[in-house]
Amino acid sequence: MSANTDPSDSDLLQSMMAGDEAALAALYQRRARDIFRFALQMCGSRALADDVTQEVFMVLIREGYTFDATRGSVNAFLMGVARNHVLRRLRRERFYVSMEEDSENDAAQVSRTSENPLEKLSRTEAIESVRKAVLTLPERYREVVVLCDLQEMSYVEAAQILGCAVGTVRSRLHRARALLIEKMRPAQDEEAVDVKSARCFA
Amino acid sequence: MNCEDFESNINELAREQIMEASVRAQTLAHREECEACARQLEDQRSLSFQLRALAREANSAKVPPMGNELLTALRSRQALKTRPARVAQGRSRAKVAGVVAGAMAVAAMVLIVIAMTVIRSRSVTPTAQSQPNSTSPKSLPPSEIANVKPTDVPAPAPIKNSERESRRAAGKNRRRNLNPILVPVESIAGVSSKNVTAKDTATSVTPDSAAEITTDFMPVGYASATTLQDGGQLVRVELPRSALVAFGLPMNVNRYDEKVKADVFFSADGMARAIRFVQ
Repeated sequence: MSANTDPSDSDLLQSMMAGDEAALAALYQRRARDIFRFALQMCGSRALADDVTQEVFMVLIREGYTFDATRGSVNAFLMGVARNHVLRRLRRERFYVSMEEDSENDAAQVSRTSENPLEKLSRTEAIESVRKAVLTLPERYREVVVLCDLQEMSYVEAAQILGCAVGTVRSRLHRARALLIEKMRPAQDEEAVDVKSARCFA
Repeated sequence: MNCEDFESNINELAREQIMEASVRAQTLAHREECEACARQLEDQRSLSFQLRALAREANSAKVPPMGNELLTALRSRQALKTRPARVAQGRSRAKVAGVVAGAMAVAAMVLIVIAMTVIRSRSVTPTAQSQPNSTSPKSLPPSEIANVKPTDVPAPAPIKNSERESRRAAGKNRRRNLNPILVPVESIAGVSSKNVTAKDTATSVTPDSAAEITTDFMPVGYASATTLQDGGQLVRVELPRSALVAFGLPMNVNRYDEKVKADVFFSADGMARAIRFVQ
């Protein structure tokens, strides 16, 4: 019942454009999480993801009138804006080295709160290796992995956000996953090689 | 199903997406037959598992709270929204004022142009009326025209501004009148100082030239006699006295710096063809 009474994103956007602050808060509550996650997974920086989330809603306030319901949902519109901002920031900060160690801090947090430290640590390491592999993907492959695999969006939704055909999303995802497997394989192979060499030395 | 078909469906299978039941069954059946494809599917499933773990971890990440900047931006936008009506009113008024000012400027320009045209026409009319008087009614037989010998004398020295203007006016009149004023050739070549009477000179150039004495018309440059037949205009000018020497006439050295009057005949093509000096 409550779902039926909840206003849609478009209604909230209209109210917000009319000056309703509550509508803005509701829309933020509803959509900020997806935007933040997308930005975080795309760039791997919490600070940058924070900035992008704020910027996306600033754009919505300033240029919300450009939203066209016939072209897609409000979520797709917001994610499209987020994508543009993320790509812009990534290109701008390409030449800088990040001093953040968020992932390591998170890992430490997980290890502190976990019941079985060894098991949790190995799992965290595995997640970290996937995260790094995702972050090293080319942007066009990374965004489809983030949208389809990490955000669990359908091909159609991802195509709307990326502004390309569904088939393109599908083929890019296929290629991206193959690349990820390749990127994660060398580590295993190196480990195997190390073991072999150790045996030889033994 | 072959390996290629299997590869095209492996993503959906590994990601546990909704598939057609028959396709799913065929894909799984191929996995049993082909070891390489089975290994590939295992890799993909492992990747999906790790990606899901990464997604779960990202879900637990804390979303930043809505900043006051957003509310401030919304309020300021609302404040701006009310302004456009006033701005639009101001703009429309400015537009009307601009149109009125433009119309007034155009009207002023038209009035100025009309006034200038009237003034010009008034200033031009007297000279136009004087043109017929500049012609001499007398004529000489063509044989005398042939007697006119060109000299090596260059064109007359610079003319005063007033004369220039009168020449311009005359030129304009010439252009306006399709029928150009014809000057009989005889008046150029044949009229000697003896022949020129007070009556002739008075009618030819200036109204107060009753006591004027003129020389014969002397050709300027190498104009042939035939070109003189085309008619032209007679223009009164003032020249330095040195021009007399140039034409082989005597000059009083004591009055070197004074000017001497002359009538220059311009043919229809605007070239100076003949000159006579006036005293």
